[in-house]
Amino acid sequence: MRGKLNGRLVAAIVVALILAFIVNKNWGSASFFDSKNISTFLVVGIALGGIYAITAGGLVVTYATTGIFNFAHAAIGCFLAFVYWQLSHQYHVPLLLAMAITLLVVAPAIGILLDRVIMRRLRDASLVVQLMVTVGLMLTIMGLTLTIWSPKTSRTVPHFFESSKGVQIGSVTATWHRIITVVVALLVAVALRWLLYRTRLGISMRAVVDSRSLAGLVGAKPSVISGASWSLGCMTAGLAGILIAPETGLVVENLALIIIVAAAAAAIAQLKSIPMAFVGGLIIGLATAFSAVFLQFGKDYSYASEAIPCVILFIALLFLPQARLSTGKIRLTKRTERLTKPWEALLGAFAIVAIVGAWANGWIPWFTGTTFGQRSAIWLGRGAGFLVFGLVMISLIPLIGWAGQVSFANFAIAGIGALLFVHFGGGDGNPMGIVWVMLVCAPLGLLIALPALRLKGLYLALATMAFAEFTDKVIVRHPRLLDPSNSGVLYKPLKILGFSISSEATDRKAFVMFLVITFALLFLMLELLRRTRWARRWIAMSDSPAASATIGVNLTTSKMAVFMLSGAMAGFAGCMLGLQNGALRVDSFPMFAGLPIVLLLAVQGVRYPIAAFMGVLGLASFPAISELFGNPSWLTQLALIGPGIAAVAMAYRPEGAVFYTGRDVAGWLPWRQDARDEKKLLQAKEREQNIGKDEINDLGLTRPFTEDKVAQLDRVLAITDLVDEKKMVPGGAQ
Amino acid sequence: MKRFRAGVLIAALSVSILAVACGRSGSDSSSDTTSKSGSKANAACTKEALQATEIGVSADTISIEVMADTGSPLAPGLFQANIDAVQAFAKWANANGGIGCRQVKVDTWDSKLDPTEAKNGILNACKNDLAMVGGNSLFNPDTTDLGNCADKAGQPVGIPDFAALANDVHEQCAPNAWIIQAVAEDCSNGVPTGERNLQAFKGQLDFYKTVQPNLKGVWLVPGDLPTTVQSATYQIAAAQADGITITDQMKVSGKSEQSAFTTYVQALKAGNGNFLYDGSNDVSMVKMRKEAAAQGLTGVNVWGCSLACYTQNFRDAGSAVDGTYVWMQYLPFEEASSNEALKTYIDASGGKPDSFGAQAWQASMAFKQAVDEIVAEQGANAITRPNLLAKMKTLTFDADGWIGKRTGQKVFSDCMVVMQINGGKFERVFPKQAGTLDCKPSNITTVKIDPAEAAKQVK
Repeated sequence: MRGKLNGRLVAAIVVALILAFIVNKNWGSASFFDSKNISTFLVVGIALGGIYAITAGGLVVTYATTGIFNFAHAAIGCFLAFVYWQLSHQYHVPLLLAMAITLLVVAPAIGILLDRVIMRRLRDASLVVQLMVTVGLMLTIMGLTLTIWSPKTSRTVPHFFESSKGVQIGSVTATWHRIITVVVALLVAVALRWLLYRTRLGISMRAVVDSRSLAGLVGAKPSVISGASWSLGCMTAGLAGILIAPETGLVVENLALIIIVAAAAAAIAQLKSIPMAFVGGLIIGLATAFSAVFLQFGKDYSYASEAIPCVILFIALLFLPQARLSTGKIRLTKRTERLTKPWEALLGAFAIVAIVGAWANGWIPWFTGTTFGQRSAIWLGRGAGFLVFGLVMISLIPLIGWAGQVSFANFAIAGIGALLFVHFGGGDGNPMGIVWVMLVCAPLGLLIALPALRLKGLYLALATMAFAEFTDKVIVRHPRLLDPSNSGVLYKPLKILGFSISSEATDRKAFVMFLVITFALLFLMLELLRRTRWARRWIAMSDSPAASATIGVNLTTSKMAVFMLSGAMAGFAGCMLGLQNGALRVDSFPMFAGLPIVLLLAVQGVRYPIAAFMGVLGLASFPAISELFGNPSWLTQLALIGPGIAAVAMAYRPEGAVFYTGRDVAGWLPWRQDARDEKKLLQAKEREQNIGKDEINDLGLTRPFTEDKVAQLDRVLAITDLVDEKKMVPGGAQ
Repeated sequence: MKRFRAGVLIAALSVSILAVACGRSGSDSSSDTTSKSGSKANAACTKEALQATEIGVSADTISIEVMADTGSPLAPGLFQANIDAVQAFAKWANANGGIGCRQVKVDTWDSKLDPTEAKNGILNACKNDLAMVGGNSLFNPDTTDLGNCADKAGQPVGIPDFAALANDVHEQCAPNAWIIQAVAEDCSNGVPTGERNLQAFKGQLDFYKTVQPNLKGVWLVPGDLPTTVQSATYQIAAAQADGITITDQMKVSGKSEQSAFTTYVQALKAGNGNFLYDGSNDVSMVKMRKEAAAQGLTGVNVWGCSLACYTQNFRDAGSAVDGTYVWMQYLPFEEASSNEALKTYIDASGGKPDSFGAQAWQASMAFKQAVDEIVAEQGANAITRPNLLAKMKTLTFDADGWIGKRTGQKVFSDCMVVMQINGGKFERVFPKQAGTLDCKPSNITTVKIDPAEAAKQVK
């Protein structure tokens, strides 16, 4: 205990010293002892803090009562703010009534709908599935909002008491709306704290997150409570949306992407203390205002102030307690995987090259018609782009799929790799540069692994998200890495085996072939690696860190190794990303651009290397379909919500499309008798699960009362939720 | 995928709009070069049998491509006005005899805020169309194919690009680009870097000085990207050279919460400012004005904004933005009755004009004039990319008086009109006479700066 305290004290001193150094180094011309500056800093900071606090509070209450970190929280708030605007400004409903309808009718309805349709199914899902479903939900809601309320039309939500003068504090006026926002944030924090800790409903909500069955035993109704929790989450989101919209403008991106800042404030609260979330919001608001008033970052770090929330997030995670090795939670919910045989992997790699090669050479008739054929150079360029994203995806397989280390940082590493490649040889067309970049990106992955050594799960995911945001706002904007004055093509064609490889129209076929061959080699490497001791260690570490540590697996080494491998692969993908883009901008690698890559991989199945190739096909399918149909506008609208819906569908297919499709298709292969047997077994299980009331009479007579049978009986008699049951799984796992 | 860039695109968009437009004109701007060339071209149509003379030119049709960012999930329909305007222009032209003795067919290309798709759009046009017309793609850094793709004869002459706006300096400086929006950079030696001369418009600043002598205040620059900050520096330098005291140069973003604008208000208060210029966009200016009102700021007499504030959003902001000056380089939409070309565009837009659509329409007019002049001078079968490229270098164009007259390819206009918004309506304040532009060489100045170095001064 003492050692831990000392460790944190040392960390606190180190962080304080670093911050003091940064502040001293970047102090601007404003005097801290000038009352005007102080009042500006305090009024602006507290006003911003109130905005962040109210969103963070909702985020924490959702997590505390559902156990799910809801990336869509701010997007839901955004949607509800639009509903409020529609009611109050279009239908001329009185403001208070519009607010009441929005918060007390629409928000709970959305919450119950989310709970019934999606969230219940996520309870036993892996963290990556939980996160990706909420990311998908965020994209869906954003798309839906954009579809319903065109962004080309201006909409404003006026401040409360806009015509009244606020309170003068020094030389600054605190408007009534901002005062209301801060006060409401504080009241909400206190009220939610009281609700969660002093009322039966709140205690039930938290109890259901800890153990549904135990909560049910003491009289709680888990399904009702769960719906109430999501309703409460949506109500807080809606309240935040309505209060924030006048400040940010009724703009989808502004409202929905405030989630990043809210996540930082929620991390300060360790995702459990609502009052601390309020404090976290204030800290971020004050830090932002402090930097705006007093600091002037040099030209090399001119966007550093935008990285403040993610730095605070990172520092907050630094002070989180060491993750404990969890025990007693090992659930064999997955079947024992059949390992791909080396010759099968080789066949798969050949198939990948053959499919893409045939397409690139125009040997697939359907893809050489008037549309695709005439635009062959264009489609080759697009194909190269999809394959590059496939390379980023495949770099995530060992990290997320096998080792269970959820990371959102690989696209950022790829971005750094792309920029490094300019300096390491890409600018001169030197292929050796790729090797140097991989050698740099491997330890970069290691750097990200450092928090992974003491954090896990959601906190690790948030730490990698903070790294990605920091990369976007600070690292790639450093002029020495990417000179903003040099906005043209940065790379020269690579010369490999006599082929010229670049994004130029004449080089595109060779580029596609190079990409698909390297992709296939990585696929083969991973399939073979999966059969080795290293992969088994990573999977064991993912299934049960405690058990794997007990049997002698060095978790630190294993984590470092997988992060390095993934980092090197992402670095390679980055080189290709740069080459494919040709010209790069400082905003080419936003943190949010990395999320859809993880999302797409998760939809396909994050444990399987072939999923990355399916992801490539998935990426290609939308523009291909669009082109076939003549780019209809409805397809553009579908594109707004389609990816999100696909991700949300993961709630029903958590293992990914590759798993379920592969399970069905494998039986067609002559040498896969095991797959046919497994399918029969599964069908038998499903038949039993679908037992009717008239068939239950023989339970206990001709069929034994197993745990599954009891669950079956419960369901038939409608005395429990369908999803409360333990999943029926093929026998291979038992 | 690469499209999560809301703030970025808004910033880049702002820079694109604030960069000045069009060409020389006079108060007596009433020329009708487009109409005259069209009449001569019509006369030439019957002289010879029409042939397929170039890629995109058949015996009876001319294909053009309009490329704009429209389908990004981030900003659906962003520059749809460009597409709509070119299509509407084609419909209007076809109903009035076509272009170059042929009917016009418009290919559309969505560049999706994606440099790769912008390059693909150029490749597509190279393969199928005579020229690119009325385009507006924010991210278009690789214009290699624009300059060297092959024509029907197999010569690497490239493809003519009659763009409405070119936001990327590589497109601005592309030899085959003729852009409605003016180019501040000197592109004579390719894409410039380091310290160099840039042309800046200062006519609006001179007007502001008539409203408030001894202008002193804050200049806000679109701050989401280093490039947008750099792009704004030459205008600040021009303002300073014009005798305006800029106490603070500050980055601004339309994404920011209104609370964040308190800092700008405080800067104005601290410097006793009487002037603020927002080079970003309408969203940020609305927030700025609202925050200034909330903070009780009364000392500012000149609120200046670029063309980016000439939007319906800004009109909808109501009394909060009353008194804001907006300057532009074409006759405003409010004066449709003063100019036939303007009226035609407004009618074709269904009464919902916007600045992007207007510039796309003007670019379409320039294309039509260039083709018609070729036909009038060389015959109906002389429509080729090389001839069009040669013509764009000497084209004299004024959109039938809608914009200032310009001759040549990369021209910086010295014409303007200043509008002021009150009660949700824009009204002309300078020059006073409706249907005129103020055109004089003194409206333009040249500053010598290194934008990268100058950007260091921006907080």
